[in-house]
Amino acid sequence: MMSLKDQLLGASDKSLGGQLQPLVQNELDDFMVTLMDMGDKKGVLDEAFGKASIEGRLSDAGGSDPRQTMDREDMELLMQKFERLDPKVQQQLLSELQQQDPRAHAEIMAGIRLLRGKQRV
Amino acid sequence: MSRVIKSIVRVAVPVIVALIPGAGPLAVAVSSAVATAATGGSFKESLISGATAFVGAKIGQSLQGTFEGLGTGVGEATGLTVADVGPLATGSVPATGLSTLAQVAPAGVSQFGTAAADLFGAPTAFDVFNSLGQKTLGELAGKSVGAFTGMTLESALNSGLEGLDEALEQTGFKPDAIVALKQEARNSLAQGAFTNISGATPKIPGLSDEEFNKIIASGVERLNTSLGPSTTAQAFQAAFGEPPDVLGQKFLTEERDLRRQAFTGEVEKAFPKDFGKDIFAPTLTDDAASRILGEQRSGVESGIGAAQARGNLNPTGGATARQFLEKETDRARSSLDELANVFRQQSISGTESIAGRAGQAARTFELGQPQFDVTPFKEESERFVTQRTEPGFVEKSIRDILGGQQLFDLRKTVNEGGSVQGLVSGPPQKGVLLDQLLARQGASQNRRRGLGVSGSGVF
Repeated sequence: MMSLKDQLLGASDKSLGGQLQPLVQNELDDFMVTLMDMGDKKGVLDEAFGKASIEGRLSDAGGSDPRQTMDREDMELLMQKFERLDPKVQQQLLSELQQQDPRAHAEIMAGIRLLRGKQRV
Repeated sequence: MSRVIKSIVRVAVPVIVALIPGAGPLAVAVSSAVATAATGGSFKESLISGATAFVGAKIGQSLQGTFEGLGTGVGEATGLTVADVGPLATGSVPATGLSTLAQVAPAGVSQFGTAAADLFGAPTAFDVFNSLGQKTLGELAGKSVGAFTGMTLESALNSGLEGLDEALEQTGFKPDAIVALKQEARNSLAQGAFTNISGATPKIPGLSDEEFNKIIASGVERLNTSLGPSTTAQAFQAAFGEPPDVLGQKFLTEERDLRRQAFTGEVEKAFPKDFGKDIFAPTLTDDAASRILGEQRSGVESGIGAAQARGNLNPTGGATARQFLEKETDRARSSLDELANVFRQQSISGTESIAGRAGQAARTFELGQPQFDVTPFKEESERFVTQRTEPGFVEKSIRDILGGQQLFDLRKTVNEGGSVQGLVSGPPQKGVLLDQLLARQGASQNRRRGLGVSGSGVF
């Protein structure tokens, strides 16, 4: 039988999100865990925060590669979580993203626009 | 794809950590993991370890108290559950956050719920705006709200008029809900612009609909955000005043230029300035030039030795010839370096030509074409450099450029020695045989090395 601790840590779910779920207290936590889980699945989490990321940041100075766009599924999941955030937090995140990586910002905004376009149909 | 996620994670996570009130357990675990990662550790392992430690500590306290203060899912911290929004929440997703119906919808607006809630399962500010946007504030409030009474919620939110927030509060909206709705109203303007522009702009052959739409959406957003955090419908319409197809074309051109810029950056990164000069530096040809020079000089030294052995040169003449040869060596080396430089310049031109073609392809990229990729150019350059820096290739190339050219003149060298010592074979008319032997010796050396006996540039 699975221990309480394992259950808490989501031992049955090997994803990072599953393991962090016990710490999720609100929609902000949920968005962050979703994002980190996505980064983990793409294998870029350590790269995003690791020591090597200093070089990575320099190489990414021009913003995201225009040929690399988000999967539709990832985009929809992220937008679903994003829409639940406090509008002020949404604005702050978008503003920060726009400053630091305009292309990633455009990608997110395009995602919002396209998804909303579909939802309105 | 992963790069976009990486970028978003990198930017968003620190912002969220800073926003979490009272640095919740997740924020603490993430902060600690970021610090670990910055010093070379694994972010992920540290994060899981932090989470484990936190949960472990909670378990240690007591089973009963374990979960107090430790939320078990989205929504608990806000105190909102599906039950709170009752019949309006028809989907399975819990209603949470500031944008939920419970917080956004004014009290008593019972007609709001069903249609909007059915859209996504959980009503958000987006649902509220869509459902109530065309209702007047008077209708929503059930009473007069001054100048705003006959104004629809949508036009009121985008009006930027003074007293709007107060009117909306009278209608029953809370301040946070007003912020959310204003954002939705702004989004609605941008959404409308996107629909118009994407519908009016001619598609580009080769560009998928999805990519086309993303480009238009990005363009709309760039223009939208350039208006600042607060704007009015009037200012928005002015900014988007050009015909939609013209704006669409502008966005497509901007995107094409952005890509050209990004691709050109990639080319510049792959082929930095003076990249070829650094690789094909003078030191690259030093060894090959020294070998060729040594080989030719050695042939002349042998010729001097043979001339001495035959009596053409006495010891003084031999020493003089060798001194002359020594002086000639500097000139020969300089001449050989010039030839080696030809090889290096050809090589540098080769790399510049590859980089030039890559740059040209990046600068002339058009939407709808296959995406530019610098990799084939890099690989071509790597193959070119690998071949042309291989020592055997360098030496052969310099020899090819040298052709049959002799860097030293044996006859002149021996004559230099002979002119100092005087004739060793009597009067000139009687010295013909030895001179002929000397000439034959020089020709024979050249034949052995496969070189011609004529040519320009002999000293």
